[in-house]
Amino acid sequence: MNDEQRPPLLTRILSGALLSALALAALAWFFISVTEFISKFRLGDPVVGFDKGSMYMLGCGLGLLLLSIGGVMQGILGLKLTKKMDVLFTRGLVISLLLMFAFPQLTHYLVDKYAHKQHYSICSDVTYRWLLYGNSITRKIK
Amino acid sequence: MKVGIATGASIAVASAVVALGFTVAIGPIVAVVLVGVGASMVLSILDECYGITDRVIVGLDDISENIGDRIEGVKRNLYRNAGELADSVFDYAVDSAKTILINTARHTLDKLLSGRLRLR
Repeated sequence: MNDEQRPPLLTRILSGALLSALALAALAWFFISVTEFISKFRLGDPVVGFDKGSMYMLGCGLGLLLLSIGGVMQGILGLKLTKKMDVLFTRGLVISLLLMFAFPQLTHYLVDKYAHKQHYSICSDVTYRWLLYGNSITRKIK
Repeated sequence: MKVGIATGASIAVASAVVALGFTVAIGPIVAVVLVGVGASMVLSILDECYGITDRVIVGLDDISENIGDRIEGVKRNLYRNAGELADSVFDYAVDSAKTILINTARHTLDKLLSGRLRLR
């Protein structure tokens, strides 16, 4: 892109900041939720909530992180991507998309199996689902 | 509303990717999908936390109830005003008839009395 066609530096910096902030927020949401979930299971909490929505944030956060890294490299630092880097970014973005849709289903299945093994049962009254977003609560059977 | 906000966020992020001059071809479309799904999750969590949808439904119910009450009030006022108008028209007609009757009777009596006096 020629310098004449490029947006002002402030716009590019703000765009990079927006992408980075979204990526960090998504990854923070994912890691906080996972940590809380694992600690509740390990401590043998009688009621454990599985926030399936936060599982989508792993792929979402990684994809946005790749976009912000690539954007900062090209838009702010003015570096040109080599063909190899271009391929790597493309693969990374495709993998993050696949991860975003596959990872929640996989974790849901695994958590379900593990919870049954640990003598937990699903509380259907407080389990809900809105399109892709789901939240299931499991309760330990005494 | 959720869909609208998610779409707006997707467009904003895709514009940010384009503004940065990211040359990977699938960049903007991936940004749209990632942010669209992510924004939907965030909005559903916020909705669940603050009960926004439930509040909107309750608000709409209240508004429709208020409209119904107002219509009933307007109807009642209309009936009352129509009744008062009919009463006043009836009173006026009765008063007018009384006045006309009294005037006619007085006039006839005057005529009769003045004729007798003339005969004598």
